[in-house]
Amino acid sequence: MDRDVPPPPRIFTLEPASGVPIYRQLIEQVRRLVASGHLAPGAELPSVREVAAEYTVNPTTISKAYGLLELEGLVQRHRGKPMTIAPLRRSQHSLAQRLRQIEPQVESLVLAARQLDVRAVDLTHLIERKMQEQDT
Amino acid sequence: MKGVLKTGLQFYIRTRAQRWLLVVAVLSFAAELLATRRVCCSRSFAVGLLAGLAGGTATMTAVYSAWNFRLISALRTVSLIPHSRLQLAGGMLFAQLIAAAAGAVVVMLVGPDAPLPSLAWGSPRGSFEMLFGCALSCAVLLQVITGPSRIVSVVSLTLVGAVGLRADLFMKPEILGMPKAHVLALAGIILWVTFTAWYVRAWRLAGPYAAWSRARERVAGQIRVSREAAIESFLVGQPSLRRVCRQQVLTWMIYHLAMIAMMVGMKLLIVRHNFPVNYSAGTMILLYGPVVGVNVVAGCLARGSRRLWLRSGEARSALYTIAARLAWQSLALIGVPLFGLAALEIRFLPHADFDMLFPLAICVSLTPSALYLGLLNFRRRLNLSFLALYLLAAGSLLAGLLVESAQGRHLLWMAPPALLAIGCGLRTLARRRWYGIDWLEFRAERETLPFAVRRG
Amino acid sequence: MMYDADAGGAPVIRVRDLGKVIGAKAILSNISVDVEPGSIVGLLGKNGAGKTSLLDVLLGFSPPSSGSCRVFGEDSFHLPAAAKRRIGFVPQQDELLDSLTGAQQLALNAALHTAWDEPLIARLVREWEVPLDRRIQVLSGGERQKIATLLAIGHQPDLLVLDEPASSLDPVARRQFLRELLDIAESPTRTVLFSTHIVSDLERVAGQVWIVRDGRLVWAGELDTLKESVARVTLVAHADLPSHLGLEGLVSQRTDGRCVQLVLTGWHDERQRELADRWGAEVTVERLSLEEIFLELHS
Repeated sequence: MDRDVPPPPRIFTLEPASGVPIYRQLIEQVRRLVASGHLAPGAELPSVREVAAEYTVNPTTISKAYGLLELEGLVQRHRGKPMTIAPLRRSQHSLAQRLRQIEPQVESLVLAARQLDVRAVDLTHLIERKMQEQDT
Repeated sequence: MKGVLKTGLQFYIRTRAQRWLLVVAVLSFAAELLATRRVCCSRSFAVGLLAGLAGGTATMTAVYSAWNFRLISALRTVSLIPHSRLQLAGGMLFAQLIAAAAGAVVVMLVGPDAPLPSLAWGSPRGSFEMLFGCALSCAVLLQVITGPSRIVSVVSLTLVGAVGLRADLFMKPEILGMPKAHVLALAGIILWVTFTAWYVRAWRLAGPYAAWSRARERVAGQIRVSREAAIESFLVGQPSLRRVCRQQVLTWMIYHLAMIAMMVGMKLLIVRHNFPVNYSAGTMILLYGPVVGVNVVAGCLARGSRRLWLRSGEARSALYTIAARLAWQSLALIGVPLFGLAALEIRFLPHADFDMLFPLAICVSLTPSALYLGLLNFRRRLNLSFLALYLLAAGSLLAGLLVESAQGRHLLWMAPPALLAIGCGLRTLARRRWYGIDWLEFRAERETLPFAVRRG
Repeated sequence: MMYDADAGGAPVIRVRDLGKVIGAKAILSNISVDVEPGSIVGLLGKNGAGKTSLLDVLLGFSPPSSGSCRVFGEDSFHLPAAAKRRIGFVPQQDELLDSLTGAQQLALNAALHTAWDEPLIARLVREWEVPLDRRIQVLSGGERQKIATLLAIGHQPDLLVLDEPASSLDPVARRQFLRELLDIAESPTRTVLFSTHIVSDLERVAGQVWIVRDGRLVWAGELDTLKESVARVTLVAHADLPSHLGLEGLVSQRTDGRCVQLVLTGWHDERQRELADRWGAEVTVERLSLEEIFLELHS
């Protein structure tokens, strides 16, 4: 079993005392790390045991998270080897699915905008400007 | 002032057990007075028995109250209240006033009809002063006896015992040229003032268990590590049963020797009197020792049973068998030296008027009851089996002292088998209790006991 | 959710309609729950709610007044020796013998158990810095707790029950202890049941949570499910809201004119839209930590 580079242990930030269960926090963080590119396809994830020992949490919850991520298709399990990020297959995620994933953030953005009395038109302009900045 | 009132009123009636004891004491006291009026000869059997009952329950009430008083005095939260100690001491005085007044009322109602001088026993004022003086002296001395220093404890206990034996001193109308009632009341007040002077300024007061659970300087030493030894240690709560029994034998020998020393001292100093005639008071202590000792050890076994439930894997019935076996072992370890020494003393230093074999028989036949009462004692509180044993022993002894006719003596010798029969009954009870112990019932009391004298 | 009716695979602990009455007071009532092997169960409850009593009845120290309680398939009041050998228990008030040293106490315990893991104990004594050569009477509360814990895990029990095991430990010692607990519970045959006030420990380590209130089991299920199904919902409407909103699973409610703050169980995301539509209000949803859930359940 050869590893190219040992996975950095503390790539997650897990808060047991949060209202969000630990497995959900882990899932969200893996998704974000993949989306932001910190975890490239093929990158190795620390094993369930390593994460549980590092953060002193129940390994069952970690393996539940990994199991759900595998179901989603975000990670791949290999026999005898650590789990890796699955290669990105855009066709796997339809637009509707991807939009649904981002919907919670859009809702909180809309709520903040309404509280600050920002119109939809201005908000859309801001979003477009930000997306242009990201591309450059 | 509120503290004084509260302490005084609750001194003798704080717990339910105390109240029961007090009721029995008062009733038997009244009954004894009534019997004295009816019977001309004061040495009748009934009078003796009632006097023993009244005295016994009164003693137990006093000991119980002293225990509670020490318990409260030692609480750290109490010492934070300003003037708390002064209020407690004042309450003690107040309680004796109330008790003496109650006693005087009883004497007035039920006591002798014939007119008596005002300071004599039997008259209201005389009874009040005498009761007050005795009660106050007892209360103070009991505080000293239940203190943390074993030596002081033993010395004061033997002092009280020796003085108690010289009760005939209190029958005279005058002591040291002053009327007896005044002397007693004065003695009580002097003792109380001395006590209060120390009590108010003492830095830290020890609870009543302090003398028995002090940290030993030496470590337990080598322990045997085998399954039987482990079970024994967990059950007894000490490294071995022998160690506990040795401590018991040592303690009672010390009491015995101290009592003898006291009596020798008195004989040497008080040349005019020919008291004591012999040293059978010391022998009584030896006879009573195993009864209390086996009760205490059996109580430890009962309270240690919970530790073994999961650890040893044994069923409740097996635990009972083990505990009973260890209890009988302890009886042998404690009883053989003490009863043996007592038997030797009886043989070679006999009492002139009284056959000491009778008390020996009584105490020996009392030990099974003491053993099984101890095995039933799962609670940590001061247990009432002491009272039951004391009453049985004292009652039988008094009866032995007072019965004169030969027929009566034959009847008396039915007492030891009767006590053995009680022991068998208690055995069945203990067995049944152990076969279905519910440790949860006794847990609540462990947690509320104010002094778990354990943490360093 | 209380228990799966015979889900297959023998549960380690099976409790049905357990009730315990002492004197006139019902200390436990109507408790039915299962513990599957390999789980870590945390027991949470106020002082006097019945946690320690429940553990006492589970382990056979006390007979149930009604209902049944079985451990390893055996009736708990009459546990046979084979079952007791597979149980390790750390009581709330330790049962150590004061006049012995720690080493002697461990030796005595080892004499009673045939399967005593010396290397494990040696390693833990080193890591946890347990003083073994001084008399137990002079040790501090935390050191005594450590020894009591060692006594319970030395014989590698399949069921480890701990009653407030870390209450006197400093944070470093507590973290070490939790790590050891996770190590033990890794094996699928070993089960851990512990009661504690330190809610953060529970949130880290427990898979299942039991919440006891006044002798009843208010919740017995997965910690994750508990957190997901309880939400604090704030409604801000355009008009005053009635005081009785007729909502399912209401735990607590604070009304302030147009703004209502509710804590609800049985929450799922669709309810947010339902509420917004029904009352024409802005709905914000907040998830609660275990400590907050516990406080709300007892408010």
